[in-house]
Amino acid sequence: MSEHDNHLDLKAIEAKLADNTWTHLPETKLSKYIEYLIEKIGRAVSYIWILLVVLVVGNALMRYFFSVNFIALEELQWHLYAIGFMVGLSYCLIHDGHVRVDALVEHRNLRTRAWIEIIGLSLLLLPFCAIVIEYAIPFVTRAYRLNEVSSAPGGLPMRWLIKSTILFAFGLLSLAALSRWLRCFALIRQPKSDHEQ
Amino acid sequence: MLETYEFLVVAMLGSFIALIFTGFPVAWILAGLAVLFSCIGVLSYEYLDWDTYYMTSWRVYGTFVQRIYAQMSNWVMVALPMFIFMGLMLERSGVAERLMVNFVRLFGRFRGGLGVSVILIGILFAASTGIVGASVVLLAMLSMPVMLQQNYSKSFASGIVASSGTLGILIPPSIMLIIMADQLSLSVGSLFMGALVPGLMLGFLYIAYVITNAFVNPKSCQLPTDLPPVTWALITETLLAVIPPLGLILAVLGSIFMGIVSPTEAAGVGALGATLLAVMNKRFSMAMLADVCRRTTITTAFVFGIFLGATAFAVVLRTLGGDEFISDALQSIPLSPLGIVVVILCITFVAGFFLDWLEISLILLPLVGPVVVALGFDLVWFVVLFALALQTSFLTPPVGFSLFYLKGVAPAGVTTLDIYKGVIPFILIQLLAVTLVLFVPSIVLWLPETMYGN
Repeated sequence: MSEHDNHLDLKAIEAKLADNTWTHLPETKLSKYIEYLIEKIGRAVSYIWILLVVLVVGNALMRYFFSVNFIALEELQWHLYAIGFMVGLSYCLIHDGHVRVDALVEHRNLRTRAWIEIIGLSLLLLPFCAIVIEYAIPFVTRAYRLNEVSSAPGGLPMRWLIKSTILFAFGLLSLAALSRWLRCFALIRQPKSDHEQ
Repeated sequence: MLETYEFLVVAMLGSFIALIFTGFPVAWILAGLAVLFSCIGVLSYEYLDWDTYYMTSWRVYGTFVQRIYAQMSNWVMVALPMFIFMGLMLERSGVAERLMVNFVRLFGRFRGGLGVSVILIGILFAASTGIVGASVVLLAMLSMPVMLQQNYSKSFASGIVASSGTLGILIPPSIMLIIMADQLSLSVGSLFMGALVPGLMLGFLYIAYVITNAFVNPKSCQLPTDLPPVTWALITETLLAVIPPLGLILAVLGSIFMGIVSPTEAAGVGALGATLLAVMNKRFSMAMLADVCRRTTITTAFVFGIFLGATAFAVVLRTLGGDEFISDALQSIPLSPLGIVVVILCITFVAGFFLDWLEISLILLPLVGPVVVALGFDLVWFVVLFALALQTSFLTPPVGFSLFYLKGVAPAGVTTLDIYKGVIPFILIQLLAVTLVLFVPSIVLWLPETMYGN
């Protein structure tokens, strides 16, 4: 057969699939700071998956070959996983990774979509964050006061620490939502000719 | 006449369906509606004296936090990011490219051989990702140019790619099956086993169709003339390309089936194995590892974003009496139990036009699962049917998900109409498979029963 370049060009795939709608959102001073912070935290937390792979495989090997179980290490697995996906929520938001059904609004202009985004953030996402944070505070402080530990023998201590991931993650998620809100607002306030074809 | 709480249930489901079309992220629509309808429920109970079922106090908000924590401490779900990591790593490991090159050289000389190769790669790869978009895109980029170059008709090539990419959500170890097992408290192992035979059966039916079509309609896939002769070296090289990924998938599945390791551990081993394959193919670098990690975070987060939203939504719906309402409504359909299952499958099929399998598995499946059990059916059998219905839905024009993804990455000149024409035979095969499984449940149940006993 004639030479066909068989190297998968992942960049090209991405470019073809990317939703370009949101790339034109203007930034504001505050949104830049917030996204910088979340980007740093998100990247750092991403390395948790390597740790998790090693831990899962290590535990399996130890159990299989030496028949030893470390409850603490097994619990550490879901602790890592929980931190990874919870903190990831905000990282995913600033990269616009949360799934949308945009078949009907794809071709609407950006201004309309920014309005929808602002209304959605204000009435749906931010209230949810607020409720979760409000009810997570007693949840965490209770665990702290009672000095709650794992119920399994040999399990990890300081349950309040992993429980406070909820506060940390939803704090970041609220920040990410705020940054998005500001950027959509900045777009709406721009004079019309700037961004519309 | 509807009770007041039933009215709230209908309003809640209705708002969800209406709001998803605004293009706002589905996860936050679910979460926000959960907050909103709890508020409406409690306020109308307190001030309007409505019957709101069990929605009578703000304590429901406390449940949200408990459910989030339950999700965090759900050990089975640790498998999910591991499988996502494995899929992303395999995608970048160069394994697919090597397979394609070798399969083309070896099987390209037979009528339909190239098409069959694509289906085989689809089965191998799909097994690792289970995300529809990902496998369709991968297969399309990999094989569409080659097939078109060898004068496959555009519609034939499109049909092959769309259908074998979609097969992945059914063939274990798919993350869809893990989530479905978690939602219905089934064992991941037995669900994987239940899906294995129907998945492979579909694969064989696809292959049979491709070969038949190649002989009946030779114009749709002409033979290349410039292939190197078959030598032992070529055969060895092909085997060397096939064995590592095949071995990895078999090791992951086998160790789950034999009960040696939990799905979480198998996923961890799979992730490590995929990394080793990337190292072997000289595609590994620290930058690539960092990229895979970053993407794992994004993919995992979008999956769990919907998880958190859907759990909150489900809690509120249940507190408002939604479960009973849906269950009563379904059971009052004047049809035989099997007829009701068919109705549920049709609803699933239509839902698949608008929502991805994730939302459907998290919202619809937990609502209909108990109804199916109440009707006296086996849940593993039903879940496989459910998955088949979703798969068919993703292939069905004009709105099937797979077709959109394919159109997005197909080479210039492949029209939407080509794609629609190409998938029709595969949709018929899907319908055949659904019918077979519906009337011959042992296609699903035979393997788990043989392996695990009854």
